[in-house]
Amino acid sequence: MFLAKKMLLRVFIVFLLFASFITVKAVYDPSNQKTNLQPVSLVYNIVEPTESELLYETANFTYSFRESRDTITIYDKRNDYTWTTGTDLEFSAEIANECEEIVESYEDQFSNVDFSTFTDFTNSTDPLLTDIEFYGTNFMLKALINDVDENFTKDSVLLQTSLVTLTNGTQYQLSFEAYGLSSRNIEVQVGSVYTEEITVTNELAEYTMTFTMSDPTANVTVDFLLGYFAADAISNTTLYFDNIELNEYDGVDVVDGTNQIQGDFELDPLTLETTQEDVLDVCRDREVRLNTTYTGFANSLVTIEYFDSASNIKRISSASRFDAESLLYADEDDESHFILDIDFKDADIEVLLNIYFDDEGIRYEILDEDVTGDGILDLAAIIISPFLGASGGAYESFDITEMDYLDEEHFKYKVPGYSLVPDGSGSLIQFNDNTVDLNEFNASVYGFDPGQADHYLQESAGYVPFKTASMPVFGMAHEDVQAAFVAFATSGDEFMQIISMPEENLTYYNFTYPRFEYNKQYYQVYNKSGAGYLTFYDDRNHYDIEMRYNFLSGDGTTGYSGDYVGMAHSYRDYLVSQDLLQMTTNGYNDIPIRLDFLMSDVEKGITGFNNQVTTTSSQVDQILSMIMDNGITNINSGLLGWNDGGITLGDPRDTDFIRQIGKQSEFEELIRTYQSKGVDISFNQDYYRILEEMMTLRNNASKNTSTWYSRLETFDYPVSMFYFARPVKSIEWLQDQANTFDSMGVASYSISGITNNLTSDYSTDMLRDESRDVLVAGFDNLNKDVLINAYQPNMYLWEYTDRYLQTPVYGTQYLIETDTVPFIQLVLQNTMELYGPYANFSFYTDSDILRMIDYNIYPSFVLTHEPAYLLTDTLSRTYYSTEYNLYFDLINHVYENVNGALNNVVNANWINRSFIDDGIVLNEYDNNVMIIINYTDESYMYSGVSVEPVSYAVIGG
Amino acid sequence: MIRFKKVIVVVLLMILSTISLVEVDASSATTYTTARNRKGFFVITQDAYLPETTVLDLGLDSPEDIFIDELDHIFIADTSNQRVVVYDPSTNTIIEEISYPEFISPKGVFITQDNELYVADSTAEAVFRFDADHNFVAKYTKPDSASFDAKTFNPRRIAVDNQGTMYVIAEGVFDGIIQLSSSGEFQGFFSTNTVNLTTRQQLENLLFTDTQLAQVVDRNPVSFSNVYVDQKGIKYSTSIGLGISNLKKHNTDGSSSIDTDFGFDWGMVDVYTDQYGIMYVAGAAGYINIFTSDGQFIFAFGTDESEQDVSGFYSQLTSIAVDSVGRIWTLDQDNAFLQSYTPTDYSQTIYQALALYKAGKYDEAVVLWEEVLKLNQLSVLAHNEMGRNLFSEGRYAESMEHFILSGNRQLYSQAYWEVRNVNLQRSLPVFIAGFFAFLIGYFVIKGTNRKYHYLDPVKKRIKKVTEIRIINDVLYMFNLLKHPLDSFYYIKKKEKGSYKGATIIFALFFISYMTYVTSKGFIYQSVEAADLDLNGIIIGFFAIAFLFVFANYLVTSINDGEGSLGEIFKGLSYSLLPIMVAMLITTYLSYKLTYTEVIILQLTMYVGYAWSGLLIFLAVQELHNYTIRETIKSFLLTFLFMMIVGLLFAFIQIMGDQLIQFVIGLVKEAFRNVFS
Repeated sequence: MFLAKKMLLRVFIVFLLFASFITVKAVYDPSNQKTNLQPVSLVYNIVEPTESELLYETANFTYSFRESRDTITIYDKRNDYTWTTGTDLEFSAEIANECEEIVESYEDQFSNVDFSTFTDFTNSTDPLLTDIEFYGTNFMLKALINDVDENFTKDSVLLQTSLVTLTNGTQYQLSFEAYGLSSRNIEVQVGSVYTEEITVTNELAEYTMTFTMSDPTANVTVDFLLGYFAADAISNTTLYFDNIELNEYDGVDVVDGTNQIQGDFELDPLTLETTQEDVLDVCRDREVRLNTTYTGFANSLVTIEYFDSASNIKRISSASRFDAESLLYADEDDESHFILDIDFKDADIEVLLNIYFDDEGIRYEILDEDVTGDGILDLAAIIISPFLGASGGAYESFDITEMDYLDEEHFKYKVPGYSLVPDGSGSLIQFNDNTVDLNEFNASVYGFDPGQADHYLQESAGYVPFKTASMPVFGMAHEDVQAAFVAFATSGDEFMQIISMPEENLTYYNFTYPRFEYNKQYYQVYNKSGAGYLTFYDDRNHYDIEMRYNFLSGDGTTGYSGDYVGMAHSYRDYLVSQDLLQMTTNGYNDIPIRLDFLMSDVEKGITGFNNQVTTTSSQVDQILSMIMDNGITNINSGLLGWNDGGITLGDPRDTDFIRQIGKQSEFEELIRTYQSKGVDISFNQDYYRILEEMMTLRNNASKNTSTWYSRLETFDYPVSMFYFARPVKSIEWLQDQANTFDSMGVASYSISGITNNLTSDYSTDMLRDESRDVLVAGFDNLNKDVLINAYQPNMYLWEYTDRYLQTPVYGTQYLIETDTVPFIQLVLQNTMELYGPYANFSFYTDSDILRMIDYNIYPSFVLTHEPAYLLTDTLSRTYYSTEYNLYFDLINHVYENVNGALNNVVNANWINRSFIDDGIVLNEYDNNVMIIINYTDESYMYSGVSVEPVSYAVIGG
Repeated sequence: MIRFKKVIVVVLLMILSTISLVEVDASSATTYTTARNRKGFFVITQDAYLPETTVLDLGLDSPEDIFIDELDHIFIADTSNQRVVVYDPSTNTIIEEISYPEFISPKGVFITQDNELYVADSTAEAVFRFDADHNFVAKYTKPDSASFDAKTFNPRRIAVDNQGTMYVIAEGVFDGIIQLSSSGEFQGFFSTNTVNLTTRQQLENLLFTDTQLAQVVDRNPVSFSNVYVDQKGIKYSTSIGLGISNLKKHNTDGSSSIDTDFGFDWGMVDVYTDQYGIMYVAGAAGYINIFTSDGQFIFAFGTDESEQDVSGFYSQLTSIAVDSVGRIWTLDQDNAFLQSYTPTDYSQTIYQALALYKAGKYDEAVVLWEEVLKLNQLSVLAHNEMGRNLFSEGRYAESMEHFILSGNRQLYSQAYWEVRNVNLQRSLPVFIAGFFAFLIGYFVIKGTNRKYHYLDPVKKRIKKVTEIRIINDVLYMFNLLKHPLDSFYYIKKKEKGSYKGATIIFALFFISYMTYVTSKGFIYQSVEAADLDLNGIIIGFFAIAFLFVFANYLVTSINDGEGSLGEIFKGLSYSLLPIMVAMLITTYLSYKLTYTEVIILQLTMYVGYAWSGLLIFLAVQELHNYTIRETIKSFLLTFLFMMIVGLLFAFIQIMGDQLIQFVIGLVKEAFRNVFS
């Protein structure tokens, strides 16, 4: 490898000024619930002067690098927008040091000027007093008085003017300014004519005294007696004098031009070596709320987090001031490939970052073997370009009169825009100027890992569980449809977190970044009573990090638009190109509907558990035929709790059909009958959560890193302690059950649990990446002729998913999240059927129906034959309203409405979604259909079409 | 109104089923709405409210209180900014800032019917009064009345009734709610909380000297946290602390007309009411609890998670108010934001239905409750209210179904009484006729049989069966009823009865006992069979029986008792017939009787117990050949012995557990030291 500078005999390009002047209307969904917009018109200049060396150029981009701060500058030729991977800031501490130095040298010019410079004045002190000094400083005369005590007299310390000539009988006024570090008495004498004792306070004040000359001698000195006064008064202090004047006085005012003392201690400005301009040059504006570590973090391309000796997490960034060194190399064989070699000296960790440039953006790669060093076990995490796209910041300025930085904070121009985070369906975090310190958004990709949790026992939270990030994607947009990037991990995503910091949380910036975890503290329990200690993993996590950043621009007329729609499409196309997703074409005209049946669940009986049956196989037949008679025919159904033990205790290892619910032959008959009518009926099974009441834990349950079985306590009844199946077991059971289902002639499998949970299993030291491989291989082995209905599947299972069940329609609703957007739906539309959450439960109102249309998802319901109150004593009591005869009308109402809109676009591509007015969404499809959704309670006119309140209109097609 | 029994077990505030296979949180709610099920547990129900807006950018600093006026403007006591802010949600703007030079830390706001504004400022030690245009009118400082003996006057919350009487919550005043006249004179403490002493404290009171008592922590009553006056002038208050009714709806004398005691502290910090009289209560931990105007719990939502900044979560929930369209507004003190919630159809329908019941429009209420039940078939409240409406309409049989589902035994019993009454009236003549027909038939058969002996083969057959040894042994228990002493004598002499027979009787007793414990009618089966600790019951049953036999044997064998272990068992078994019969009769009657006839069931059981007890006594006396005096003594010793054995077992269980833990710990430690 060669030094970049040697290897690259390329032109040094100085990007002097990229000035783009853009007017954009920021329009999107401002409230996660209200879906109406805030029309704000914003005008901004982007002026980005950067000095860096060109690394690589493509048709769309030029990539350059600033060695000193480890920042890559990405100049997008399509829209003249410049992105930098860091904030490109000077260290405030460095500015402070330099500034301090120059201020000192500036002020030094005024301090400690020898007293002899002031020709009009002399001093005399008692020879026993050795620590008395007089000198000029900062435009004043300074008297340092020490060691004065009762052994001395008032005149032991004396400041004296040279002789002045006064006219006998004339009135004079003596005036001077003075202050002391503490208040102190002094005595002023004019020859033998006038004496006054005054108190100099610690605030600068002017002292005046008038007298009439009565001594014929004419020549007198003015004496300031600064010696010992009284036992109870302060003697030793520092006194300052200035503007000592002696003027003739006419009884009202001083007579001009009669001053006889040069008591103005100002130095000649021309003699200054350091001027105020020099000071201002050095004391530049400096960033506030970013200390040295944080500035390094903000500039950096790579930051590591490591545990110090006290097990606290600390950060070192590649652009650190002292703690790290980095060097950029180029790959001889590939001119688009560069390697940043970073030595995090303080942590004894070395990292090689591979950087690949192409015409869509940048790809970073950190290979497992390239993370080395003696401190490797302390490595907590690696963070990549945390401040790419950061918005905000504030600085403070130097004030020349105060000779210091003022506390006043000046806010930088805050680029309007948002971060997209994969929270639920997708959420936007607009760059707001917050008034309070709110928590960050922090999501582990693919959700929580019980295997690497800090404790083997988790307790269920008392609130709606936070939505998980089911894909390793985030993005940022500056302005709407202007400039944006989408970032996604293509390796290492199992250990990835996506973090978005709001303004006012530590810094004045909004920024969003990926964090890859290598080690963590956990609680090692060693006895049954729960005693234990905190410790780390024996070995760090091993995996390669691969992150892609694609830069988007414009409104989508060419390429991907610079908003979340473009991000979704860009990511979707990447997945398709990698065969992780396939576009599909459906053979139906009317949209499908999902009707699940809750067949049974268990309640505690007098001995053991009883099956509480709410729907039998023949009742499924009865209900389905009634619904089909009503005109809805494109149906697929999942059966919940079809097994002995119902939903809760139905054993995934078994297909234990019982007479109460339906015998195997009855189910076979049901499946066959409805297959001929085009209705797919499948068995739903959770292969993830297991209970001791269901099976022995040994060999079946996965273990936490502490080697205890991972578990979740729900404080519920009739059962409350859940364990998690080992991934290998889940797949084994899935395969077994699938074989039985195959023999029964099913057209699809309905799988939950393992679809949206990914646990590591320490019974065989299997980490999440391996678990994922096991799951993917298991899904790959399933009968390819059978469809897969998956409950909220994670990204790596999308390849196999035909129907996405319970598609999220909201985010977690962090206060910093400003909008909920159908990001997941935009990614997955037309690659699989997306079904909404059960409309039974608070998702049945007209605006919910609009949301289904807006988000391009199909309705789903869960039904029982018997009243839901039978489930009171089962865990399924959360299905509080399911009785089929209550739902006939609602099913029809919801289906008709959603189908009325979405059957126009069954095989069309959803190309854009935008807000055209408060609460008015316009969805555009590539078959020229537009659907206008009016969430408001007033009708809306759009190109001649009136859209009724809380309704929709389909245009074109 | 039904009153939930205090839940004795530690009630977890939110019982959750977040793990169910498929989540049912389809709405924008971030917390669950929970209601109580018929067993008193909190269960998830349809969302009652959805979080709407979080207003973060008003520049508030530690605000403490909000109040909504008739124009739906929100008055916020912006405490640390020393002002009152008027916020208009419809335009999302601050329309007025009320500052008064003497404001130091305005903590409480209240708007009267006449739109007068009252501000309680604890540091300024005063209540300020402003007119409808927010011009200063008056300042009320510490009352100088001699009866107001508090050292300080630091008002933090205020409410004012239609007469201008002020109700003030002041910091550090534990005596109660300070009542001031419209001119600021102290009128006494409107309501007080009593000091509830724990058992330990009561014991301390009994044993401690005055000096010692002075050293223990102050036993101040639970302190009032807020006060509120509704449009009709009804006063409400909330308190924080354990063991009392923390939500009060006051009668004019200050006492509470409702009882919402759940046996645990809600940490209530604020209360507000709406047009229906529904009470909305904010809990400091972050829960919003909603009660009917009678104080019946409807539902709650929220979470005590305070670390996360998610809408619907609070750092410190401090105040609540409801606007004219039923939206709830809440205030977070720490993070200084307003959070609103919009009601769902579900909650609105419930409120309307509750109002209709109050208005006596039962038929209309039934329709609405049907709607509610459609949305939530598990709603205990809906089933209960449905039952009450149906009951009021005289549709008793229908109401019974709903009372079963809501677990309301009291009203079920009343409804059943009505139904039974009708049935009785209808069937009594038939029953009486049948009874007489039976009597006549009996005597006719008896009379004619004497002559013609046509029943002899049957009698013979029966006799033959009863002569089978084992059956005879069992049936011998009936002899005990007539001639107890003789019968026990024969048992002792082994002439009658047998071990097999005794075992069968004992088994029959077990069956009847289990039937009695698990299978009574709805009214009397207060704990459902599935919730019973059957292991405990069964083990206890056998343990006590056999322990008695064993203990009695040991005690009597050293006291010249003649009976053997087996004989005592036989004696016990053969004495059980009366209680066995009583249990079966009670079980049967529990289906037929209402609460009003509970005495019949009790009497039956008493007779059964007494009779069997007497038989056992006689058995012991006869088997051991004791005098009455000796028998009593032996019984006392037997019970003492049983108690000792019981204690011994308890000790072994507790200590044994620790011993095992100790050994396991030791081994594990050794392993760790050796292998690591």
